[in-house]
Amino acid sequence: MQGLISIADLDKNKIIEILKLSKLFKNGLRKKTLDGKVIASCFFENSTRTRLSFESAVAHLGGSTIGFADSSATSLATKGESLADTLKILSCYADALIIRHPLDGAARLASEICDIPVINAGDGANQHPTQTLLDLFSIMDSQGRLEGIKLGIMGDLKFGRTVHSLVEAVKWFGMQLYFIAPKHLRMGDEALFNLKTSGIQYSFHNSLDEVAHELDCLYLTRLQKERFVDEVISDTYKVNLASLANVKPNFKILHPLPRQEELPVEIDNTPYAYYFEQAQNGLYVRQALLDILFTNGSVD
Amino acid sequence: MNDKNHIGYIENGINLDHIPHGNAWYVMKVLNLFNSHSQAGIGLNLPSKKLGTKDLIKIENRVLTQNEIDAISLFCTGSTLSIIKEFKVIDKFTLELAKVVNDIIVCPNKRCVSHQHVSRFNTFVNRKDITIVKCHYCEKEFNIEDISQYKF
Ligand SMILES: [Zn+2]
Repeated sequence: MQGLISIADLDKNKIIEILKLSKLFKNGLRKKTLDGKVIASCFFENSTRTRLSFESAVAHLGGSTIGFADSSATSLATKGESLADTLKILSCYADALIIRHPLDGAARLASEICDIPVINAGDGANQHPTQTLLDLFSIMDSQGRLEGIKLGIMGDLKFGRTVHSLVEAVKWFGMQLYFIAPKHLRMGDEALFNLKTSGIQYSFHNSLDEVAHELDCLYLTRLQKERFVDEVISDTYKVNLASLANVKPNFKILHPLPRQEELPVEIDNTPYAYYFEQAQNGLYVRQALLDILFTNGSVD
Repeated sequence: MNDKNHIGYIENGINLDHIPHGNAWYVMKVLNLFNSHSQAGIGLNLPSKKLGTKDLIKIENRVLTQNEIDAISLFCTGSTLSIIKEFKVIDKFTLELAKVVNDIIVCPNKRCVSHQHVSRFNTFVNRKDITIVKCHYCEKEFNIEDISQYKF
């Protein structure tokens, strides 16, 4: 039985199937697919938000979770057991494994070692596929469609993990991308080449003001100050009320959260703030994923 | 003039011929010839009808594992590998770029989980004709010339 390790493991039809089912869960669908099932929720590094979202999804589907929130609190970190052995043992206790780990590739390794399906809840700087699915779902649910969306992506486009996975996935949906970033934090050449081969249109911009009026959605990333050369530049990549003066009525701001200065609280009371609903959407997307996994025996 | 005259006969071992000019050094690194006890002959900048200029490596008393052959194929696409026993060539084949290289390459990404397990790289040639290896675990891509460490 296959779980989900990387967004690249899913094709367009599979993504659409997950998003459609997510919508049904959002509209109140109740299922007990995980009745009698035990799901291991193993967080080798702390990520309260993601963990609770997954565990809530399991509970909504009638399953129960075992696991840990931070491996430093368990004997796993101290007894010097190899990661492979630890994973092997964990997989004996559960019907599926949700794993978060600080090392890149840990989830892929887990999926090869464990006999049960593995869902990646973030492996280091590599992948966090349910984040990408909930980002796509949030665009779809806030706009009523994915095809043809004009999506602005602002901030650190070079190192941001969520941005890379999102960009990898939008290739299926013919969106138009507006990259808003300082020159040294622009998307890498390979990623751009892949967009070009997929026929995705994109353009570069130095500030939100240049393009705000054209956008359907703005995806903001966390602004890591140390990556910006100076204060003035980092100020340019923050959202403020003035920059939203001429946006379209359907315009929505998305952010993977937690936020920093790039998204001031004054934005929360505007009709454009979608990020809290976006976080909530994570619950529906994870329910949909688990439901498909246990109904079909495979995600991909 | 044939190669045997250049660097001597092999009694038991391997003869890797038609290495693209300049790549012998990488093969030596992959196979860790610098720290091995096997005698080796290295031919650089030899004339070749096929390649113009080629490199050549002969190693006495060395058997290559499939993983090692896959790893050197990154630098030796089109080279001929001869297995020699008692001065006779008992097997000979042309190397093709392996699709997967297991265990030999050390992932340059320090945060990669492969350091706690066994590495696995998928290979492909990119649009600029450069051989790229992509880590099966951390999904990062590297130009083969930037791989600095091999497992030995
Ligand atoms: Zn790696």
